[in-house]
Amino acid sequence: MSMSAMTRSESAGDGKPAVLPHPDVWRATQTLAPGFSQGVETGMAALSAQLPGGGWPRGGLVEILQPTPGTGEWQLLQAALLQGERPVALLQPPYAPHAAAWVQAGGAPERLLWVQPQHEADALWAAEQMLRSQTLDALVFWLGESAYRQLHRLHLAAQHSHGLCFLLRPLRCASQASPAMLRLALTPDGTQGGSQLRILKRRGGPLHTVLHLDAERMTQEAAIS
Amino acid sequence: MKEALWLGVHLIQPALDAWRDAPPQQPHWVLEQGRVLACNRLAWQAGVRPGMRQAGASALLPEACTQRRDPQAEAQLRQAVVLALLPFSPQLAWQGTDTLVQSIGASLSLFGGLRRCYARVQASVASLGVQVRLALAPTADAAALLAQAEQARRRRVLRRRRLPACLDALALTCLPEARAHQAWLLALGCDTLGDLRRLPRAGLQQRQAQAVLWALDRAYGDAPAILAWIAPPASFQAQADSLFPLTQQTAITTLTRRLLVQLVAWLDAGQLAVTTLQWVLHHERRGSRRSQTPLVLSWLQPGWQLEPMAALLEERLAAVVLPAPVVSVSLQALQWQLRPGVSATWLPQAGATDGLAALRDRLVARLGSASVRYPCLQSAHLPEQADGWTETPQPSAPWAAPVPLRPFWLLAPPQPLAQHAGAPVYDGAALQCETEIERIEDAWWAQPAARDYLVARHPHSGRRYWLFYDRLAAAAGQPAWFLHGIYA
Repeated sequence: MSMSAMTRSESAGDGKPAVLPHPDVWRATQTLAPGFSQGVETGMAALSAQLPGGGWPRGGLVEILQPTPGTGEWQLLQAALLQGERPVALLQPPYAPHAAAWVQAGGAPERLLWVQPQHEADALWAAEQMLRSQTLDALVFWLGESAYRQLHRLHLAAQHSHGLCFLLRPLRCASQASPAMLRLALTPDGTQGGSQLRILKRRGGPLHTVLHLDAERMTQEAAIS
Repeated sequence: MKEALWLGVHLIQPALDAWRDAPPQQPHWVLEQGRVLACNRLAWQAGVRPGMRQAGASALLPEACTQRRDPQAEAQLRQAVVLALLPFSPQLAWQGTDTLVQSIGASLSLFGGLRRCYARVQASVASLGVQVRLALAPTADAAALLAQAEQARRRRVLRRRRLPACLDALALTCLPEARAHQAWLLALGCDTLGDLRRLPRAGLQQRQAQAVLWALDRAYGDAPAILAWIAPPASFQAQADSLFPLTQQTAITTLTRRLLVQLVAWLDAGQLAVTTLQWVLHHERRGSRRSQTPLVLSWLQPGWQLEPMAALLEERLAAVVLPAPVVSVSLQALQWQLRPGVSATWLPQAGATDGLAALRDRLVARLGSASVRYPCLQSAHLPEQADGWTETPQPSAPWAAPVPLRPFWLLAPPQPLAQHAGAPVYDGAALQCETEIERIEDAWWAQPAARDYLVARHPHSGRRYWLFYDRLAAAAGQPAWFLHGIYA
């Protein structure tokens, strides 16, 4: 069906397609893949415009790669996590989270959950249980190095849940394959302060611009690099 | 009017079934005062009979498994059978030491008809591993007699008009009250209950056989029976022993499952749900090693179903290191409450937190209760006192948020920093202060603390840190700059 749609439009001669494109067919002229459900608003207009679905995608893994924790990931995720009413889980954070920061940003204290297992294998099991239980709005998982099959298993579990799943991994994993639907790299910007955001992988065409995330004001403008 | 229907359950060999963990392929008998009391099929086939002396039985089968009669284990077995039958009807009574009668006529529609109810009773008693004989009759005493009789043509009678024909064929020895007069009754040629019934009543009354007449009347339905119903126990505590020391997790959980079945039956009988359970694993004694491992499981979501509780117990056991093989397990309900009512809404609500309590129980079962924490903010000035994490969700107290932005990570305890030319140094560079000072002072009467908080930035990496300058430490000549938080 999809092949016939493409041939019909090519034989039409002009640039316009003769029939509406099939949602499962992506044309190279489109920047973003079509047919996605509405994503969760990120709080930054320039970033939302670059993401398929207009925001963070539900039901899949979102990987954020950073050299060290503390490069602005909380500012990036805060707006999306504050939306919703169901709990948000922080799994294996590198330092103890400060609940006052969450409450100061406007989150309800009863929504937060801090899970700190003793072993890495227990952390992966806990992530899978939390995703499959479908009771959380978002899971933020600080995962270090891990094998592809473990990420694939998390991705399958995330497809069951209706919430967000963020994996925060070190930047050296950027060269490894990953089943995540969206991969971002967050690096500190030494000259201007704040952080730089690069979209490494998304459903659609690649993005060659670098987005700038300002620490104090949380504004964001695109820069051509 | 619907006819009453009674179920009779007779325990065939309770002394032997009390040791039902014995391997089934091995001959096995139970001794009492030096003589064989009961033996299993393999021993019977080899020639062992009840009443034989121990020496004679051992001579026939030297490698058989021998146990002494254990009245406590038998009492637990009877309790287990009672708990297995209680969910079907609360009208359950003992008729003699080994026979139970239960009125199930009113419960048939709940369990989906007679065949299904009967099959469920058979399955639930079989899951205990006990050998029983079941019978159905319109009266309680008839059900007990049909279950106790060793040989009976039909054990299941539904209609009252067919009952006399069924009972008439039973042997005289089935009736416990007739055993006292057995000798002269057999001499009369009276072998069956039918013959007994045809004897003149006045004659039996004269020969002091009044009890026999009453028993016959109750069995045939001519007189009512008065029974003492069994009430479920006020608390639950059960123990299951294993003949061999267990080291495998699956074996221990299978043994505990039997106790869980009894717990579920006890909860069903009173419509309760358990919130705290104590599970004790008893180890074999070896020198000075610990002989018990108590595990206390407390759940946010009250449990009353078998499978979720069994899964949580399995996860809990996987996290425990056992010092020695386990010889018996015991289960005790410490805290319970009434079962929560059925939800009035048709669809599950979007904001329901029932799944969250079950998730928290699952995580705690494997990771330990200290691994899952909820925030509990206190109203205190010092950040480390204001920030609290508890293991159970607490209602949030009103907390006034300070104006300056707090960092997302908090280091506990605050990390002292080196100084260089009066500026704090961290991660290879002097940090540049960005904001104004926020002064926090507290507890001047007990442990004074005076801190000047500010936000500093690392010049190369761009990370922002929350530092404080401890004025009291500076006055005492100690290192004064501390790193307390990191902005994420």
